[in-house]
Amino acid sequence: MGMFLWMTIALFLTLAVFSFLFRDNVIYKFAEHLFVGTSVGYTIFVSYTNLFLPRVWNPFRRALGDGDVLLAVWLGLGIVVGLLYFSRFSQNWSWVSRYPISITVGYLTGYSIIPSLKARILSQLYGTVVDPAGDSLLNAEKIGTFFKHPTLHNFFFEAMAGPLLVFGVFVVIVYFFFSLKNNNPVVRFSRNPALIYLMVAFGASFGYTFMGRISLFIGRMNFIFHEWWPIFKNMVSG
Amino acid sequence: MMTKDKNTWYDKLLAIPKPVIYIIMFFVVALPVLFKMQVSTYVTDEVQRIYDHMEQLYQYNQENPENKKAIFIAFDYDPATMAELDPMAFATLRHAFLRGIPVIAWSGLPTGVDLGEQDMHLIAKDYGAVYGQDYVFLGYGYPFVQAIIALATDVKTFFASDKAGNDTRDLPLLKNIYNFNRIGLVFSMSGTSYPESWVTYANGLYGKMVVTGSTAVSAAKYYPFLQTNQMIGLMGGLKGAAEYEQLVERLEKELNGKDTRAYMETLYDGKDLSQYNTAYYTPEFTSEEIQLSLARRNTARQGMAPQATAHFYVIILIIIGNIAYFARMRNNKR
Repeated sequence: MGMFLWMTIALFLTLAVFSFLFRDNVIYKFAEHLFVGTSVGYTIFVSYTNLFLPRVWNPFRRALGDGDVLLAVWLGLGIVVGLLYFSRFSQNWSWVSRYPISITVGYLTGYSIIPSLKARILSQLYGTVVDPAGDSLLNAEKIGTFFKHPTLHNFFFEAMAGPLLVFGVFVVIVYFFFSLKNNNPVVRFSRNPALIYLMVAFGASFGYTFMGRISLFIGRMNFIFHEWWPIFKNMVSG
Repeated sequence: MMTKDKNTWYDKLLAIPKPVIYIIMFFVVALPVLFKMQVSTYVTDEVQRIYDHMEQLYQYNQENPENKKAIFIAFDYDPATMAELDPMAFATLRHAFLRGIPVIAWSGLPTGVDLGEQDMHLIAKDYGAVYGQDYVFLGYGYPFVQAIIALATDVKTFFASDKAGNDTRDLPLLKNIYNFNRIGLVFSMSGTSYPESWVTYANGLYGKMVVTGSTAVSAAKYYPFLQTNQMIGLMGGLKGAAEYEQLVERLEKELNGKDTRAYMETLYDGKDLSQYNTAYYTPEFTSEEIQLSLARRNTARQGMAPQATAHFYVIILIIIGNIAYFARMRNNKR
């Protein structure tokens, strides 16, 4: 009975959220506020039980109990620095919160410079010149293969895939290069092809987005028809 | 004159009220769900590669039983995206437990912690996996970057206790496998940009092979990482999940026989039940649990039929909308 009650509440909230499709209404607002409030409350609870207690408070107490002064001081220092965040609640003392913020930002920025450069710039640049097999994307051999065996597969996936990718990257970069005037011949030439590439990318994104949204809807339909309904039917039939 | 224009066929088509479109969409999606329609799906390269890497890991573990490698799963999602990501996580866990590959996991989102833990116990129960020996759920992996870095040295220093409150030094699995050296694959299941962080740190710094299970909305942006081999596989949305589900089901039938129900009914017969801690799951199945478990093996594939009908419906709407739009434009020019 308890499970059915919770599932019925979930059903009601699902329908409440979908009611927004017709118009904004008080039931939707209720579900929305409940969602936000529950999420925040849940996050606070999880942070307290999964972060503060096991990673800060319990080790701190254990270290004190074991006489491990160095660890206790180290953890205590972390607690004190972390507590400085709460100074934001005071107008006079809010500047103190800049210390923990600067430590966090400084640490993360410093740490992420090299891996970010490597993962997001250098590897991607490399991928624009070289295919996963290690061959050049502008591979004349593959074009030659197409002329020897002129099939559609050899044309699109072997001969043209690499040059199209390189060309696409080039024209799109030029499209977003705002230091040249619009009447510059390179900018003028690349504008239309760049737009085609961008539209293809946006189209792929949109297609995936549509699939994603429908998946969420299917998830709720599955819940209603395959989880809630059988239990409801069992209860009614006794 | 205006009134007359409004009555033309194309104006009527362009003025279909939104609620009507939504109601039709409801039926288009609900009917295939209700009648449990199924459509077959083909397996793409990016999903096949995940399966193949898992099988390679299994082979490695067979050849090196004393030096087994695990997979790491980051349940970086919450209930808002579980419709898409749960089936991926289920299929991955099934594959791992079927092949006896150890699993270590955490969640990078506070709202995903209980979800991830629950998913692990749920699937572990289907294969009799033992908590602490075969799988471990560490809890909330936060701060995210520091947690990844901890995996490069010793994750036990970061997680003194797991989600259930056990001392991580006492868990047999973590005594042997506690850092990237013995982790073969890293899975990031997420609707956020966390997979990019896994690529940046786990792959960029430590050369780990990263697999992403992402919501369809995010999938398109991960293809550049696939091309550079920074990610070795991608499950994009429900379609990706359906593909992996299909591969794993084939494997399961090959290993456990075609009658999965019979396998489940006899799974715990003659086993030493004292090794199972009932705090995680009870080592027995009710008929309802078996029913739900069998249905769970199919979730993503069952979603593909309503996906297909919904896509057809939208394609028809786009065609109708375009015809009406161009007809009106042509008429206005006259």
